[in-house]
Amino acid sequence: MKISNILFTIGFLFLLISCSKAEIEQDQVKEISIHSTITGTDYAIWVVLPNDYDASLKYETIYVLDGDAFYLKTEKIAKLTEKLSLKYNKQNSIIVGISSKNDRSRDFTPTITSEGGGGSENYSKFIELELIPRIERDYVVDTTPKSRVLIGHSFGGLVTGYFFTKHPNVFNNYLLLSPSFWYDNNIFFKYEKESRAINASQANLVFVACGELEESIVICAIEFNYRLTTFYPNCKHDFLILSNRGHIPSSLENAESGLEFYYKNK
Amino acid sequence: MIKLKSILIVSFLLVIIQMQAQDSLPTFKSEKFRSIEIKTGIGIGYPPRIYKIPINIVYQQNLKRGFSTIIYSEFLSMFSKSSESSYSEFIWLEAVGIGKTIGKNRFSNGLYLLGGGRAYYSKLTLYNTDFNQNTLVTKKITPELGLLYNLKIGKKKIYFTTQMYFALTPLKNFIEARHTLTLGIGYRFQTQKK
Repeated sequence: MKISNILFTIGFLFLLISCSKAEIEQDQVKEISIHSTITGTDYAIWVVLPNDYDASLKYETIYVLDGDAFYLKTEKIAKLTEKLSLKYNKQNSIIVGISSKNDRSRDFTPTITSEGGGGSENYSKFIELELIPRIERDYVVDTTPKSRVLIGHSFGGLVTGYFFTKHPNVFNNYLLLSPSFWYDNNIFFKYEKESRAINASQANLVFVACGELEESIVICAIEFNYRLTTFYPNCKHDFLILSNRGHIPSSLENAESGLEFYYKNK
Repeated sequence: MIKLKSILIVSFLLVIIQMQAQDSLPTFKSEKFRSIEIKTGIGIGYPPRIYKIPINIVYQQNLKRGFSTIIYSEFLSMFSKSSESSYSEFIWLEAVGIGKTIGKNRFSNGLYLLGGGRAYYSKLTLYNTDFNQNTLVTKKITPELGLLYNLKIGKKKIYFTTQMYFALTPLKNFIEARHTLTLGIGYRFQTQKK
């Protein structure tokens, strides 16, 4: 085959890909910036409305940490919720993606170590006291914790677990994807134990998942699943180890499974 | 009797030496080219990190029109221990492949598609935790599909070789798969002159 033929074929394929329909219509996506007086950081926020958004209805909200990461992009989550809400004949949700480009390792970690800055408490307050009120002011959403979902991957999963233990009245639905519960010598499990008596009766939906090839995360996820099963009788939960996947490649597939769990059980 | 045996052995050795003297080194693209290579190097992963050094053995047999078949073996073993945990891992990859070799006398570039299997074993043990389960063992045998680029340099029996191997299965795990960059030496088998 001549070089010109090869170039023509590549060009044609590129044109086909370029002309393909965007996954989410751009007028569904609103980008805002919020300056947090609590953390001192500016956060880019993406709000994706359902394609049939109706201001006379009240929507559930799904908050996505690392909403700008290529593996967990807000629009990809929105596409999944569109598909799953149709599948289970449920109302679609408003997706709120939070940028983590600024100060991620500070915001997502509860203690100061060589790997993190111990800013989870402030970050949790930013979400609870600054971000959620802003979203609930600007859009028609159900303002009860049972209508809010939090999705976090890796360190984002760690801060999602932090909400579960330390701020249990903000969200009632948690998707913990490959959570970094190994952080600071498994300190998350200390928090879980301390808050167990107060949180054990909460009627939460919790989905925990990871990739099979991330062993230190798997063993912690198994432990968390064991504790949910043993100590949280009112918590409806599910656990998934995705076969033959690592840390990043498991994230979106596990997010889809977690959202399916949510739509099936909410 | 002993003398006769000695004569036979010496004769036998002379025949072998004679045969060796008749041998010639095939070029990389010769249809008679056969080689075995042993390499070591690094595994590359994402998020950007480098895995421990694997050992890699490749046997190559050329076919017609620049095509070659190869048998590919890779071994990786590692162990680490701290006061909080211990971790051991073993990987054995075995595959056969076919591809095309392009090259002149001194250089050879080869691109091969490989298929085979990968055995994976790991054991993680945590110390000083109140976990219900402190040890995690993962054992897997999975099918393997890979893409290999190989470069050979040298005109002599022993030559320099380097290669990159990309694990394609499962494709969804590509960015975190155990891709390797290895370098080492190869030995080309001699062929008899006709």
